Amino acid sequence: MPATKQKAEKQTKAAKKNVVASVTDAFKIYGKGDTEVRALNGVSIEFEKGVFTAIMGPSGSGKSTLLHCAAGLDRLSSGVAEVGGTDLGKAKDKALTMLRRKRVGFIFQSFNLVPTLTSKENMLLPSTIAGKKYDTKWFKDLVGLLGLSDRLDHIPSELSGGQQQRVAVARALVARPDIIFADEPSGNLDSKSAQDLLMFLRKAASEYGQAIVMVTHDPNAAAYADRVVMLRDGKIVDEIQKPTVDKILQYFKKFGS
Amino acid sequence: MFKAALKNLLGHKLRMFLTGFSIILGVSFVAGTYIFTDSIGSTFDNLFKDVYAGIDVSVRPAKPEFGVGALSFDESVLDIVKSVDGVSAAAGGAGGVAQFLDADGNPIGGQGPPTIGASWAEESGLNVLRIVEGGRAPEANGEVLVDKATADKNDFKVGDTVKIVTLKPAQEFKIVGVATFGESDGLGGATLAVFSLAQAQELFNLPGKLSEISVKAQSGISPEELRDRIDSKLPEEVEAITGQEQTNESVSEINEGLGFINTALLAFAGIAIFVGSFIIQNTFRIIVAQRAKELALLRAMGATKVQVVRLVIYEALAVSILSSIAGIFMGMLVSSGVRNLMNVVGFSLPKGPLTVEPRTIIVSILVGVVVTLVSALLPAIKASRVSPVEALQENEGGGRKRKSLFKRGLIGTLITVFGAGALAYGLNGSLEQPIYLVGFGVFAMFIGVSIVAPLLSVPIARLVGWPLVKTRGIPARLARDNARRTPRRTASTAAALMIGVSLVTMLSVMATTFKSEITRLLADSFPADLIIQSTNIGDAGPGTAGISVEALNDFEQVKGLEDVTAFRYAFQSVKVDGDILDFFIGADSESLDKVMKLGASEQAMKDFAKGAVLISENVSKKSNVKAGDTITFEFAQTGEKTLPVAGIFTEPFDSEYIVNTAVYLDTVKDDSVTWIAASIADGQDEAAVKTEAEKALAGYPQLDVQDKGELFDTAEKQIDQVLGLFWGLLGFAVIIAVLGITNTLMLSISERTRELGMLRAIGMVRSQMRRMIRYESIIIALFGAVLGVSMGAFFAWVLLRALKDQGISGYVFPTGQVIIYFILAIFAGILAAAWPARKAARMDVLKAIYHE
Repeated sequence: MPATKQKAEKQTKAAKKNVVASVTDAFKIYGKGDTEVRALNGVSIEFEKGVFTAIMGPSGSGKSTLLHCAAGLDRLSSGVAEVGGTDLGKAKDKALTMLRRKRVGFIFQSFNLVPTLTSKENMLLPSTIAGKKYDTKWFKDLVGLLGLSDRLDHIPSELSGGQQQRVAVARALVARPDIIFADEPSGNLDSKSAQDLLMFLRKAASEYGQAIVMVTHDPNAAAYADRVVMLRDGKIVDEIQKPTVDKILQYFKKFGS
Repeated sequence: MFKAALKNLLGHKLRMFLTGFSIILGVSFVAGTYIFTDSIGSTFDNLFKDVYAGIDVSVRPAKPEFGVGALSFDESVLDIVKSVDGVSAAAGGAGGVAQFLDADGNPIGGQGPPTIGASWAEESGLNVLRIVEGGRAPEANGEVLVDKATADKNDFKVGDTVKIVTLKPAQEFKIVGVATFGESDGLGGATLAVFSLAQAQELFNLPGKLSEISVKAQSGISPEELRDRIDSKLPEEVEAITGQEQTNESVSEINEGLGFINTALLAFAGIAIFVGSFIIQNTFRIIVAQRAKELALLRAMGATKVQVVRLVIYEALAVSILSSIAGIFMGMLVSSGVRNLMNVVGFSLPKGPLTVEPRTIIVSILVGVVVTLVSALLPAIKASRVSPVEALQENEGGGRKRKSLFKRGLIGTLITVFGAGALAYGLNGSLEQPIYLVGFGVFAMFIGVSIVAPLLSVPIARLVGWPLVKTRGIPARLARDNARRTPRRTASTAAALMIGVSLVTMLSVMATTFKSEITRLLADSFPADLIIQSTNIGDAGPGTAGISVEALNDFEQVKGLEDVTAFRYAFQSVKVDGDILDFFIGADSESLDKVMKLGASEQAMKDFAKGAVLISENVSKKSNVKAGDTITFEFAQTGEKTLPVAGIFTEPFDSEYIVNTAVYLDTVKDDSVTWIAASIADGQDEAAVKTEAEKALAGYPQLDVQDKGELFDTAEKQIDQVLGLFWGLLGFAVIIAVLGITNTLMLSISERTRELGMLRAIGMVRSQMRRMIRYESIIIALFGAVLGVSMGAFFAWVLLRALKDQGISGYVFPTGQVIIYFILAIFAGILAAAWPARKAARMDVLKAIYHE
């Protein structure tokens, strides 16, 4: 374990200016005594600007917990989680909410759109809630890139699943957050829609410098990322740079999944 | 299946509590009403049994077929009674009206419960009273004994001197004793002054006369036997009854007196249950929608439609039985609450145990269970129709297609129009018992409007939400959209509030209109400047004298007065065509048209002065009688008499028939005056004349001299008092409705958990979340208020139109009050949202997002 830690520290120094979020020595423990479960058992990881990270691991490996703690939706039992230099553990609810407004975007497996609002209103909801103006040019580009230009006045029930998820993606990106957390974003989509969505995320990272963290169990989805972090029993056990589907599948063959 | 339902129920304590609470409130009113009536009934029954315990037979003036009849008989009857074989002891008594004055000379009581004057029976064992230690019975002139309730209330002690008004002007008496009625300190707020027999006979103008004789039987002779023996010896105008009969009579008289309270309470129980049923139905509908998946799973596992319906119904059954039982206990509280309230208002209802009859329990549970089952049935059937596959699919909530509301609108409108028709027909005056049809019409309109309400909820939510959305940003926008998202839920939640608000609005419009009518009538048709009335409204019948002729004479002597007009009302002692008239009025013909504009022709007034009768326009139309015809009256005291008709009067008055004072005294045989009107001569200082009049009547403290302003204030105060009572009771309906809003919001936020979690995740702070829930609540409350005010305004309009015959015209809409109602609705909304808003804001974001 000390080796992992040292390695992480080195990386921090090397890419300090590009790090937008990090988790250091993270522990998340549920229950006590015999029933104790360590969802995170000493995890340290950093997320950089323009890097698309996929987190994989078997069920119960702690990958979702890691995402939630890194995003400030859940608190660590010990360790530090930071977004944009703010220590999430010390922040109160209001500060956390403000942080989510400015620096964090979310994409969920279920699209979670507000059914009474139009696509455009849904996309702009974070800015509206924050009471801030949005970048109209960026919004227009985003809508064009996502192919939603002719769907802006539709309410969610009039959209396909793929379109709904693209609206959710736009909602996460409109405010240009430091980092986007995606929890199985393609899990509810057909393969064509899933492919479009992941291509878009890939593009957002490389072309617009967006940091993206995605939890998935699908090697095909993870292959779009810059790196794949493997989690098992609450620990990072490996990391694959420049992954392909074959590399990931080979890894699983070697170590089991 | 029942086990599954019960388990489900216990798993959702909050949900059960909210549904149950509306049932509890409704049932508690029903139970409370019965418990109140039964308890009062049995307490009075015991009380009078105590009171008449020593008296086997009473002798009293025989009751005439109608009218008040004689109040006394000759003293010689006592000797007749004493001579009857089997009589152990007999004592005569004399009674009348006797009113205490307080230290400032103001009369005590009289506005409701009677002010009783009586005599002390010397024979032991024949007294209904128990003298409290330290006192004794009145023996000599100038001595009085007082009941303990009155003594305690006014701080009277043995040895004190008090002033008492009887048929004679106020006199001073020394208190020699304080007494109780059996176990009870007082008799329902009545005051009692007991004198020696000789003194009582003098005070009540009964020289040589008695008003009753109490008899004790020798051992071995039954009261019935003795009653028959005595009765056979008595002259025709006197009768004998047993103590038991006397008890029964007194108890039923008291129950009759309290009848209006029971009717009012039952009416409010009905309203409470009606309002509650909206909430119950709404709750079950939401619960069923939320459980669609669970029910579908049961269906997929092989449960039949019938089994699914049964599951929901069993759940309803369990909730309703538990809640109804709780409601009965709440009813006990309601019952004691009402009794305490009445005691505060001035009735002194005796203490006693609460009586819960089996009938109370059966009716309460039946009402609670039936209302709940009926409310739950529709949602249950709907639940059974959900196909398993449909429900098991991932359901994103808002994606449901909106069903066509056209059919709903049509049905609702038809029912509303039908209800309005029934209401209008019921009020047009051609029915014997219009109240049932009117009630049915109102009920149907409520149902009809609540069916249409979902259609209205979209535009009205837009309307009332508009200012919020404009000024309060996205939380308001989301709140309004959410209220419109589920129109049926919003509508039935608002409909519950609508009922209470509509009744309150109706009463406000009516009260405001009445007040303006009173002002108009006083200005237009009542030129008199001063009014004399007795504050002791018990002073009605002959012999008890409202205003004595002596007082009238004293008043007439006041300088600066003119057109002094006495009005005499005979109460239920005149018959026309077999109908007993409530009132029959005698008035001074010389000045009647100077103090009151009745709208009768000059010729009619001339004939009236000569002895003909003035009739109302109503009577003229109904019986097709006009000037020159004759009407035959039957007078309780003097028998039949045919009078010519002088003409008709068009303005509203207390009776349909008016005769001049000479005819009245000749036929009714009672010279006591009910009220007096007079004008102040031109050029006189009105205040000074009034002061003079008050001085002239100083010996009659129960008489009140009022100018027009005071008269109007008194009328206004009476209207406000009635309004206050109704508002207090309608407040319960509003409380239930507010709980309904809370209930809907609680269920709605639990349904939208994931959406709310997402909103928090993308940056909504807790305060915005709270505001969003609060605004939704306000929009629902305002929607209910809009519906309620509109319906109330309509009800009042229909009612006031129906009252046109009685001279009430016009329609005054109390804009200020209605604005206050809307403001109160906003507060009710805020209040209703308090708990749900807190819950939504405190929600754990992560758990909410991953909520199933």
